[in-house]
Amino acid sequence: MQATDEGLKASSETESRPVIRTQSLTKRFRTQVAVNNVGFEVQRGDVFGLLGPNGAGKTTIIRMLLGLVKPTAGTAQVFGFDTMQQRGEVLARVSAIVEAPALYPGMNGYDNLKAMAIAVGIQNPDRKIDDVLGRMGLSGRARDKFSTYSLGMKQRLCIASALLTDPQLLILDEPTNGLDPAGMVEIRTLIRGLAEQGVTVLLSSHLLNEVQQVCNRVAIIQMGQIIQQGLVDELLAGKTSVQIKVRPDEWEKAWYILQGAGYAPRLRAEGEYLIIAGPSHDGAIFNQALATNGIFASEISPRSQSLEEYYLSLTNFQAEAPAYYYPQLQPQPQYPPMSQPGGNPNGN
Amino acid sequence: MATNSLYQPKPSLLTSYRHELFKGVKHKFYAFVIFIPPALTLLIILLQFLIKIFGNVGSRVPTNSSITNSLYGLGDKGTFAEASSTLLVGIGGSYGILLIIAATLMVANEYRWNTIKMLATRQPVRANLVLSKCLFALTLSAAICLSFIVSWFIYALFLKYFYSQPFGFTDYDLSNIGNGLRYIIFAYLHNFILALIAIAMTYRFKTIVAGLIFYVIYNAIDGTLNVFGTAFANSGTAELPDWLKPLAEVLRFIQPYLLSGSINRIQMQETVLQFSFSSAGNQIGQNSQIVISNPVWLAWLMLAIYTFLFTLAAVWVFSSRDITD
Repeated sequence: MQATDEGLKASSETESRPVIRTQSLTKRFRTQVAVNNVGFEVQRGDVFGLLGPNGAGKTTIIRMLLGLVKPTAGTAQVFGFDTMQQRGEVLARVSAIVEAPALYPGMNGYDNLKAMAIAVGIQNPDRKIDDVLGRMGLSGRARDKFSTYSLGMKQRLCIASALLTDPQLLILDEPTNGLDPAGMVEIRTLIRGLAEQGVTVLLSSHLLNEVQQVCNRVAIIQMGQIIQQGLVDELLAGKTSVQIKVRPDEWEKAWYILQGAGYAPRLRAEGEYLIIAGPSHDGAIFNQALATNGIFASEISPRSQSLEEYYLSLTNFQAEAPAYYYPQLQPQPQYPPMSQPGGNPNGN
Repeated sequence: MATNSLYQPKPSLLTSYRHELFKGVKHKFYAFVIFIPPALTLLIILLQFLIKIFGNVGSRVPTNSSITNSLYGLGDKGTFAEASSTLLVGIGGSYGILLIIAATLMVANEYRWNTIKMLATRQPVRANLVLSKCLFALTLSAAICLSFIVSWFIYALFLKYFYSQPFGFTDYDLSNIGNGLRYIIFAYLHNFILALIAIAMTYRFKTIVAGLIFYVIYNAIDGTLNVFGTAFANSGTAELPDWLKPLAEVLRFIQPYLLSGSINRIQMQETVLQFSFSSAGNQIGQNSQIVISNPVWLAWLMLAIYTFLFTLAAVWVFSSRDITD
């Protein structure tokens, strides 16, 4: 009976442990620090997003979690096992796709999966291969060469390969990179489905919108350091902005008016909208600033802040020029700076 | 997610080796490498068959006086001696480069296709990934060797028809077969050991070019040192100018410890011709010095040491480095 109790206790301890825990994780390549003192935890059932621009250190963190790269300092544990000292225990529970989808181009989809199944020692893998091919919607193309697949299909076949071992943790590095919108939706749906089945997912991405749609927890990385982490809902709670729509021919003028009025750090463009981070009641002030310059907004409305906006506010990103809505950029007009919102630039 | 013990990963050296075999079977290049010798043999047979049909080939025992045949006791008469000269020495001798290309390609492609990371995240013991490729290189080497042996037998039997000889085995045939087998087996053991160091270099530099360049340089230096070392051992250094004697002594000393020296020691026979720098020229029986001074067990020991060191180098190069691209 005592043995059973101890077994239950051990099982319970395993269950309560974070799936991933890194402490002071650091990687230095000669003089360049790729990852600096990173610490985060991924809990069981999480879809965790490592978020950051290209070169931020996301892939290096993933490589360290998989034991591909040795940390310069700090530790990384997966399911409580050290990723360098106990790789066997870690890899038995984890499947990963690191960077671009990569399998053998000369072999067909089925043979690629069979090669992977043989590599990890799966016995009688045929049924399992059929199963994962079906789940990925690739049964019809299983006998076609991998090199003939589209990028989305390659990504799906790699995920199928990763699912052969029924992993408890799936690590995906930039899974939607290069995919068309339909492909992105497919991968998103797939990740959600896996999470519902109890698989913990860690994914890295620089596509903030993607991460927001699929992850419940994120860590935002910049220049090798985590600058913010937590549940997506908590990070975005209370974060609002105001979106303003003006006539297309007045869009650029409105942009510079708002910039000149001191809102540059909070201002960005999104399609036909000008977005200014801040409380919704600031809409009236923005409206006044535009109106005094002869621009009348056709729409001013509050909106919840997206992860992208939150990220940009965290990293103090400042848009330099309206880039893509206004069809023909004119030379920058000279508008007098405004001392305060709502002031009259004409002095009337 | 429901887990099934049947699908739980149990990677090992054996599973990695089976993975390499599976890929090898699917990769056309490896089949090409193995089936070229019989294909070439059939082509030669076809041409000689046409000569036999339309020409005037008399009945005779073929003779062969090539130095290489003499060097390794492959025979100076009989169809197996002629087949050895054409296939084992003529084609088989230089065919080893394809084994080196195949071995380096096997590693370089993993980097080119970016599959090395995928393998490394499925096999916890990195050494197993390297060792499985070394075992595959050994398998490929054995397959090429077998391919040559089969082709050689078929060709030698055809030559009996070509020269209108009886199909039985004469005494010199049996001797030539034994020496021929020894020659081709050790030639491909030599190539396999060289493939190991080429594999190590390909792991280090991630390109086939690096592996091949290192193979060529190593083989050239090792082979040159062996030729000079063997010649000085056979003919002594008495006739050399004084300034060259110290160098000749060094070469004579290191010759038994060279890879090609060790292979040659096992392949060669005491009574057959060997190169010499003496004024008497190449003569029968001049290998006696090497046979006396270099015991066969030392040659076997050196082969084992080279195999171990080159394999260790490949494992060390791959295991000690970050996999970043």
